[in-house]
Amino acid sequence: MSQRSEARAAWTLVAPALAAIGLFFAVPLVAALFLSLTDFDIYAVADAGNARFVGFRNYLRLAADPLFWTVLRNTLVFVVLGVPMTLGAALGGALLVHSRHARLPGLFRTVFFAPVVATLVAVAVVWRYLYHPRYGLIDQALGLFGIPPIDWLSDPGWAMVAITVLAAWRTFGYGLVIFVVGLEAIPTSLYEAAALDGAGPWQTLRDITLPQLRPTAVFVSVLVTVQLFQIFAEPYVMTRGGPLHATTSITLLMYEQGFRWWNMGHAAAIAFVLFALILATTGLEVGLRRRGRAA
Amino acid sequence: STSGNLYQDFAAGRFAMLITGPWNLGEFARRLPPEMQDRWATAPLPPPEAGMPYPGASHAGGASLVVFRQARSPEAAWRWLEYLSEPAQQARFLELTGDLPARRSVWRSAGLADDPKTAAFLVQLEHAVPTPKVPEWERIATRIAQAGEQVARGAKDLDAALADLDADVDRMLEKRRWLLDRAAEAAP
Repeated sequence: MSQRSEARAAWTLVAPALAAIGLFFAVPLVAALFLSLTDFDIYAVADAGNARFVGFRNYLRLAADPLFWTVLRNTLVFVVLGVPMTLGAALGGALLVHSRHARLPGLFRTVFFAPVVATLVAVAVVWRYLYHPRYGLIDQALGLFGIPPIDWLSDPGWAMVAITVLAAWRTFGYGLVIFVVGLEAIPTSLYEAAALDGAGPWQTLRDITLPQLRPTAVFVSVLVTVQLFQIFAEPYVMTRGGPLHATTSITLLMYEQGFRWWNMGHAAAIAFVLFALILATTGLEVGLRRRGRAA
Repeated sequence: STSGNLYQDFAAGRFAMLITGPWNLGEFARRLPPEMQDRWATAPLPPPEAGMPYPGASHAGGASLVVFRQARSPEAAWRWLEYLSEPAQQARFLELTGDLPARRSVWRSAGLADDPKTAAFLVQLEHAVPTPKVPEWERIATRIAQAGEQVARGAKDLDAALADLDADVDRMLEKRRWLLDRAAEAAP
């Protein structure tokens, strides 16, 4: 086959996928960008003639809105707090499940993965009781050590931590499964060589397992970062973004603006800020990975 | 707090009062233990400041009976609303749901004015203010509640919270002002 006909065949094969991406990704993206430059709101829902082109006013208003900066900070705290928490739990769990001494590894893998597939709304009912200052198991356990009850979800200082713990609990099982796959891919010859050289378990972990897991860790951290930047269901179900907006995330603010108050133009602008943020952060993570590889 | 049972916590004395509507009367009668029934009462809302006339205003929220502008037969719909608002129908509604009627005559005929627990709501009904009929209202009400939370938790002082609330609500209504101005220009 000539090169040209090969290229034509290739384009034919990718055409359906490209068309789907164009229809379901590019078109909505451009439409949302246009929407973010208008003041499309509840009046425009009734009659599109009520929408005005406002240029960058939505973006300027966001920059001048203290609530937006609070929400931005909240989202960054979710990410900074949640990514190490999730990654640590996933890696620790994977090492335990994958250990030679582990019994019933299949059962534990399923147990750790269960929160990923559990319905959050059902899970939230249980967690709300766990966090309850009077009836909650957490505060009762702390009470055994003489620690006075903490109102986890109604205290602006603690609510963020409580929601992040729930989010980490809900997602770490996914990372765990990927880490287990990564662990299985490490050649046993490396461990045998380490054992011959007299390396102890800590040295083996530090010098063989962790460096070998690096690509997996980058993949999982990118995944968790993107997920936490878009954290929505946990604060929506547990606290509605309160108290005092302490747990309102960007996505929750966008939802409220767009689908509760019908300020679609404003909400689209928020979406684009979030888009830029995720793009920049994951770019940074992938860049770090490349530099790590080159070094 | 978040997931305790309102009635159990009230019966246990964990809080002493709450602001609620007549729809809760039946629940309190049903869920509180019998020995509690003589030990709770209702009262109209206090005024915002001492020395102001009692009681304070409440809002007559919601518009449950509406006729759409584009209804197929608005006259029939209006007649239906009139029927639902008749004393006989309101009394039947009270019987079926326990929801308190909007008409004074039904309060008298049903003896609600003599029951101290419902009488407080009759007094309040005379001091109810309708909420503004604008699409922004729900958002404004939420913003007012947020300002209240900021002051209650000490995140802002009263004057600052009110100034911010005023500025935010003014911005929320900007679109409505523009639409009204445009409509006024179109129809001189």
